[in-house]
Amino acid sequence: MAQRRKYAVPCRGPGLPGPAQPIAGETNLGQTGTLSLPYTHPRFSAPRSPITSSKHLQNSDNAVASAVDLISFSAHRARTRHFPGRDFMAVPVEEAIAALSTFSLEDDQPDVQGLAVLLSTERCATQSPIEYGDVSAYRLSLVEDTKAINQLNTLIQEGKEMASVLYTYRSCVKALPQLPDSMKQSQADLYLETYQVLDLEMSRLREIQRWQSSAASKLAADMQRFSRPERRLNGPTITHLWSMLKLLDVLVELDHLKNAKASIPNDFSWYKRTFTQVSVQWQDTDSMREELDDLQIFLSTRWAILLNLHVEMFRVNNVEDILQVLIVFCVESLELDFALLFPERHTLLRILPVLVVLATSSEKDAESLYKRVKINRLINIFKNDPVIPAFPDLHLSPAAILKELSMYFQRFSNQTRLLTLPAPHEIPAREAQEYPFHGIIATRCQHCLDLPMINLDFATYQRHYLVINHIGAIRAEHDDFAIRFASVTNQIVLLKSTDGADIDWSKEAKGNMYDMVVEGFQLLSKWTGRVWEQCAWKFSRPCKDAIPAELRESSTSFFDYEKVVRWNYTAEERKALVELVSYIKSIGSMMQRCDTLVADSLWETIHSEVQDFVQNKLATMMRTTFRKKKDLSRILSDMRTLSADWMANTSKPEIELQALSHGSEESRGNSFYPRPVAPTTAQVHCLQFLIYELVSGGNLRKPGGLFGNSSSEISANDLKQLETFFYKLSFFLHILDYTATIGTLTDLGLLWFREFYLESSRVIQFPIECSLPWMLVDHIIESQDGGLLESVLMPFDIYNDSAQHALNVLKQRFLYDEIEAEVDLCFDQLVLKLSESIFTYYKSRAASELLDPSFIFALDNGDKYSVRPMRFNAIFKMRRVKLLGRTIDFRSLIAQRMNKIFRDNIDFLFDRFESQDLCAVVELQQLMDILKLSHQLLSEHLSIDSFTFMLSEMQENISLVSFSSRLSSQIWTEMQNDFLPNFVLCNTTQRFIRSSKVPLHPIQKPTVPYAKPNFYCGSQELNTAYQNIARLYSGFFGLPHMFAIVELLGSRSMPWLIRALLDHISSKITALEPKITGLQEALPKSIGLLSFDGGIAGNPISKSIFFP
Amino acid sequence: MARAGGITNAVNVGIAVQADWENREFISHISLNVRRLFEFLVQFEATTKSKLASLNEKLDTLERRLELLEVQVSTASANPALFS
Repeated sequence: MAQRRKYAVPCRGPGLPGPAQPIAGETNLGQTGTLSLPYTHPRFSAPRSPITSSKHLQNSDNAVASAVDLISFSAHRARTRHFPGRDFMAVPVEEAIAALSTFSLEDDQPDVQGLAVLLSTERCATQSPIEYGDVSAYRLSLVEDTKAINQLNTLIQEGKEMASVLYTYRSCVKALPQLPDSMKQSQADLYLETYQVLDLEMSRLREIQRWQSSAASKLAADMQRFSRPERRLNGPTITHLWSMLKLLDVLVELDHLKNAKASIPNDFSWYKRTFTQVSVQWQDTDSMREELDDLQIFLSTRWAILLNLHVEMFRVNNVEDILQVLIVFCVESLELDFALLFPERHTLLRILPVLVVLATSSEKDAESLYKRVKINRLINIFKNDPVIPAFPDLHLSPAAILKELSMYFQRFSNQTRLLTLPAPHEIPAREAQEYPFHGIIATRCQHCLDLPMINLDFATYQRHYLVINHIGAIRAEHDDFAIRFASVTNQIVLLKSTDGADIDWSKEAKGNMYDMVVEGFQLLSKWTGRVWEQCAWKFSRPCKDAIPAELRESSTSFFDYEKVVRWNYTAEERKALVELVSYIKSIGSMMQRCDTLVADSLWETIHSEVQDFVQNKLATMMRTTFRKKKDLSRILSDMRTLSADWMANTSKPEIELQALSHGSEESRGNSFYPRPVAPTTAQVHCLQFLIYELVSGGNLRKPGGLFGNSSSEISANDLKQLETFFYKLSFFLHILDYTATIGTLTDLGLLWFREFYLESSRVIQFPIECSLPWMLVDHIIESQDGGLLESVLMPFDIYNDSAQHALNVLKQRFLYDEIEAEVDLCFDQLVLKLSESIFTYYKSRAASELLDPSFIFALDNGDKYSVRPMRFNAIFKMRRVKLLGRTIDFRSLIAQRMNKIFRDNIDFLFDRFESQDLCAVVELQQLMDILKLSHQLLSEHLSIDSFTFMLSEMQENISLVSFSSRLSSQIWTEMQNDFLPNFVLCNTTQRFIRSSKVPLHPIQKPTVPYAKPNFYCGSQELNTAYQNIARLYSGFFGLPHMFAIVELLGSRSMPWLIRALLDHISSKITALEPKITGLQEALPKSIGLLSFDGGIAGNPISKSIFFP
Repeated sequence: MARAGGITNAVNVGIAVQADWENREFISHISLNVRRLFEFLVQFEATTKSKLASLNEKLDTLERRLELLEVQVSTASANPALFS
């Protein structure tokens, strides 16, 4: 390949003045149809004329390339202004992109929400976007195989759509109207209309029926074709095996759905009845009738699809081999459990029992299967996962499937060992205290691998399935991973900002990044798998009597869904689930955020892994193990041919070439020029195929497993290397699909879906209290747990996921509408409840701060007056919450609510004061002070209206020209009506006290309004404390009251009050004056001294005062 | 029996594969940078939204305060006799 230059065509920009164009290497790849683009090696910093490139690009309609051309062209124009002499110089794309980072994109919003939105959900690597069209370029004679894969993949796609139709099917009959007696004459019309409505739905079912039979026959034909012992075709490849498994899975899923949905046969029987009514006038209905009967048989037969598939498969009697290969593949992948993400794992678990049934039901003896796979291995797998998630709210169990199928497959019913597995509801509960689990440490399932028949009892399963038993470990894993991931990301950032970084360092940093990403995916997959499995477990064990007694009395019946969800999660379990959801979401968004930062590092590492294998390891193998085996070493050299990138090894391509041709023994640890390009799907596909061919010898009947047994031909060490590389290859694809993988792994939409339970409960929708996402939110708010508080928005991401699932996977508008309605309601509830709890918190904090510290210190139980600190800061900073594609300013919503609550509270305090007498003014002032302080505390974080503003608004004294206010007039009225007439001054205490005389006109007062404790002082304890203080002042009117009035009214209304009082007094005096004068006049002009014996000692001085 | 091997024209395929690696380097480079561009736009939108939201908040506060002032002034100007 050193002749690369031969293909390099020197080209020159047409009509461009200036220095000669640099040579742009152009390689023509007509035969493979690969896009040819001008390319300069090694980097894009080499000068290239934009005009030249645009000329080359004319051939391709690659939008991406032209977009970049545009970038580089505009950058070029920008630059020519500065460097007129170097006008051929295009700005490298990297530089242009790097310039973007000069924008300040800082944002103080914390990440307390999930990903909410993904830029790309397209799968490019795991599902070849060009349908393996490029496989043929590698000349491996895989044409037939590729065709078959594509056919199967199309079927899988169609099947999934059918499955979503069935899953979301809701009964139409329930919605059909009944005619009142007065309209019986138009019964025929109703029948016709009903028929038309139902016909649409039934046509879909008919389509499913037709599709399944064609899919089954295609799958069977495919299996038969690729399992001919003489093998004229290459294949099946691993991708092909996967496609078979997935199609099988889809078919079985359809069967499960058909079995589980009771509304479908219901609707059908209604349809049939209307058809008989309607069709009386029609002619020639025989064929339709026949079709209907067919459909009826299809719908009413359990396992119709599987039975049909079975018939199709065993029409020709040679599919056992491939079934065995599939079983071996499943078992090995499951046992290794390295390269599987949880959806794949669940697929394998679901399909394995069915495969076993199919494989043992043939004419041949089942023994041949057990020769390849020991039955204990199968039993182990079934026992380790007694409950498998299938649909969000439907679980499967291998034991139950096996048992049920044994009735349909006579030969399988002999397999007693497989049939005696306990179904999940039969698992014995050894623990007397069944729920919640407090058992001793039970053996982990994994430990039982070597002891197959050990008693895996209920407690062990419970332990395995419930998240709560793993949350400690998960927490540790999360913290550890988050720290290490961040540090590796920093390394990468540092690396990118360093010019001419050390190659070793760069390779190490990138390798670390790759490792972290792999670890992250595995963690996410494990965690999300746990959520699925816990759900399945919960669905399999509905709660029996954990329903609180008071609720049980109030409503007699509960939905089944409530039993499996609402009452089935204890507070601890909800907490654990919230935590787990937050971990999944936060790790997911952390990884997603550095997508473009790490992409090239990942590509580079994958590239070097592949190159290291095909260039170094394979070379070693060719020289040692396979030296004498021509046919095997040809496979190895094919592997090199189709994926080696020799040019990447710029340091010594010549030596390498020589080494290749001469097979010299020179030891090499090649260091490769890091090329950030990943292998294509087709390359991975071909490599996997070749490795599989190598180890299996292309023989389906080869005994043993894939890599399981030690073949005499390949040494154990090489086999190990091949195996590792084989499974790594399948993981590469997930890494290349970075965004899509994260999307799959963090998708928790399952927690919302409940189609099966909706159907069995005969309701339109469940209340939000039964909805798991809302239960989690509610738990966070109600539990007042400071640690959970910042996760309060995380469960809303579940709604995002489920809405996405409803629209893009299930493709059902009505589901989206239901989710949207629920989200609307839940979000309103959230804002309401959250602001209540924020308000209560700040209120109690203020109240506890204002309590006399020496008093608290003297108390034994002063702790109860202190408030546990909570951090709402993160929530206050949420200016954009992404919800169902909308952006919501959460902060402003909270602020709005707060403004309202403060006003309501002020209003309440005034109302309360108005219903009491003047002595309550001290209490009013206390409460007002607390409110003011809580306002002050809150406004450190949230911008709400100023307190004086709110107070004057509620006091109704905004006007500049009026000095009275609601409070001052109330005080004044009280003084006028109650205080001045009914109170007397006690000279000793200097207090006014209510006179013992009953007033003539009892004053009518409104009753004291009721309010929640947070309108007083926050918590109940603080309320009691402050009430006790206030009671001390409630019986008199003295100096503290006057101070309180002065404080409350301020300088604005105080003069008004004094003025009013003075006026009042002066009017009193004026009113009194004539009476005094009258009295004076009525008195005699002179009163003489009473006679001495009158009994009173006269006082000459006082006499002289009064009567001068 | 391993029958799978045998790329028919190994040299040509090798050359094509080599060229393909090189072309794909260009393509992945471009696509990565386009993705960076998109990411920038998304982030730009997000931060801009935040900034607009905080601006909006300030304007809201101002508006409410202004409303209050307006009411106060209107009460004053309703009976100018007070000031004469």
